[in-house]
Amino acid sequence: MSAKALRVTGMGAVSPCGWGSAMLRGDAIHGAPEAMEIYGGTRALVRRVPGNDALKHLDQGRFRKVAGITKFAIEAARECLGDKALSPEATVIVAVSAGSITYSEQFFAPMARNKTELPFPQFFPETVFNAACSHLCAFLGHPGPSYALVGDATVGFEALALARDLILNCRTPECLVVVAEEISALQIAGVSRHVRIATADAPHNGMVFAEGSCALRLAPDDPRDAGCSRIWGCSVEPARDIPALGQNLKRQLSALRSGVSVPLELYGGWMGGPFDRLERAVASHFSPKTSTPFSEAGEAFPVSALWRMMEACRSRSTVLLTTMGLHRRSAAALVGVSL
Amino acid sequence: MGLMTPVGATVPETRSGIQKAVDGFSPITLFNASRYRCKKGGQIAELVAEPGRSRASCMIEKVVREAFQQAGWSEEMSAAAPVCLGTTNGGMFEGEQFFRELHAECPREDFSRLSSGIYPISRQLQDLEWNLNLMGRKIIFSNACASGANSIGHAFHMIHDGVWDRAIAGGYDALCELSFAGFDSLRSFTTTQCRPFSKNRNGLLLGEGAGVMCLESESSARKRGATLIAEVLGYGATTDTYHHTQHNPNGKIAARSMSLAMDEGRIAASDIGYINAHGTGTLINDSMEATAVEVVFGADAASVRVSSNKAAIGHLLGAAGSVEAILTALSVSEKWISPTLHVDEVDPICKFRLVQATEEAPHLRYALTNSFGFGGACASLLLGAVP
Repeated sequence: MSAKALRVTGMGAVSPCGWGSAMLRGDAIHGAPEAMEIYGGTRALVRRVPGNDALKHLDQGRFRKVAGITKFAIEAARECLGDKALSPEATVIVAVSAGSITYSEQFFAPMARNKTELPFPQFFPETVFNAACSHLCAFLGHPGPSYALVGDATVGFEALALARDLILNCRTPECLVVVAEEISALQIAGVSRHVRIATADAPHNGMVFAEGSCALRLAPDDPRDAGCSRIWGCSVEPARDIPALGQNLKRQLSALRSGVSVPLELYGGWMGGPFDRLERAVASHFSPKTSTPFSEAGEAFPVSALWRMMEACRSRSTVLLTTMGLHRRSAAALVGVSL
Repeated sequence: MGLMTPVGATVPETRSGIQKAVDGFSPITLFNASRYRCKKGGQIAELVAEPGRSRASCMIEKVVREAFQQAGWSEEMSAAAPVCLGTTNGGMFEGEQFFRELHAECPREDFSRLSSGIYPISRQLQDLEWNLNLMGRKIIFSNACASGANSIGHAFHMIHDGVWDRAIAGGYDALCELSFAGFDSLRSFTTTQCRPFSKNRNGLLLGEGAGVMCLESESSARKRGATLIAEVLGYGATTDTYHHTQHNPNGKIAARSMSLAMDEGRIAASDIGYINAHGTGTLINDSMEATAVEVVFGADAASVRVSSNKAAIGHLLGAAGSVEAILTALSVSEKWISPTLHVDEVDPICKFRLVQATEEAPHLRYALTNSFGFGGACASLLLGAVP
């Protein structure tokens, strides 16, 4: 394992448990998920972020009409940064999977319904994938580089890998990585064609969707900050077929574990997806202690993966993390204070 | 390099179309555009999706194949190369079919399973893996109109820093009704002609296309005896937080992305012979860019030649930065500058020389290409002729 690590110098989260990382705890998830009607009368089970009357700072100017995903991103970033402003040379990376699909759905609905109706113009800018990233930079007054990344559930790890590239090669002094998702009927309808989902009629049949965000502030390693959690490595690999997917994950985990002498825990992402069994089987080779923190909170794809990473940082243990993407991608990372 | 644009399905065809000042616009037939103010765009007639794939996927694969062929990369070299691509729509055209099926009275499950499976952006990456065996790392930048330039810029940095030996970098976007309706609803479209930097400009036109570069470290390329086309020398990226859909008219943040690219390449403003502008043809964007050029170049602005390809091929959104970077690479390599079509009278805000007909440029060595997108994403690339 390469000794080059990134320090995690701030964390923030928004989740179905509430606004703030402190709200996200395994014992904070109460009650049954709510039913949300998607297309064709299906009532999917979802875990949504609760309403928040305290977001007065987002009730002005360009933030007034932003999508929920943008609010999630801004609030996680705000908590993550605290009172330490981001350097103007820092890089902001916002990773999304479905993005502002709620607005795409609202914008396109009139066109899908009939041949003459025109869409409502205000929705359009919010449909662009970098909308949350753009609004976040505006909120922070950040003039430096910013990137919106798109992908499947592994895109959060890709964002961390990008941050690693930029920081270790001195392209930026620090990175703010934010991952956010917002539930939409369209997204659930799409995923349900390929993955079994939990519904009101069959609550234990499959995946419960969730939404929220997670933010990590990353800086170069510094031996003076001995007590800080670190990301020691992170990779995402594509696979041609399912056997290769398992082999890739094994190789990724072996590379991360190489030379590590402390006992390892493993946080995986088996949440009802098609590669759960494979991921669990590989994971069990690398640690006797495997789990999926916050599985009761539902599946928010790349966001859930970063919630687990945040939990690994909070645990102060040395933790291997895995997640699989629907498009045959395996992601792995190693987090710990020291190795 | 590989290209597909409304004026040509390959690099040679696009080069020829651009040099001959071909206008790549035609009435939209991909979807029913009758309800919109604008009814034309840069639609690529030859681009037809294969069964089970999106138009975007077929387009990017064809362009990557052309780039490999020109670069002379072996299957082994391409298989492990990292891939950085920019896009804003991905397979949105097929996503729209899925959405329509959901709204249909009797939705067909088999249809919607197919259309819901092929539109996500990561599916287009997967198609590249299956069909071209590209198994390297992949990053998708979706930074609006700067996406393609961001992809090339990041790949350049990773190669420059010795992290990667080579990379496939570029962008792609196929037309779809959502973005067409979006720009129409914002009244960003012209209903006549796209005239970047003209006094009477009144809007942009959309197009579709893809552009991909095979980037390689100089040592690696020379070692295998490759023919070098051009060099990427610098990259700057900034974020203008002035407004979600408009850049600050003072052009300072856009100017900073140009300055960062030049600083990295250690090239003075006086050495820049050409700027391939973002030049959308909208009143506000072109004014801002003209101001930004003046901020950077000051008194030297009068000697800089500037043109925009968008009057010929349209705004290619996530592909714009990469297609225009490739056309800029051809400019510095082959010593010619592409024209800005349909200019009637140059806006007096332009202190530079707007190129309106294809020009020879025998002394051109360094050129900038700009991408200034929605959400304030700014990116500039500095390209140079191979010494």
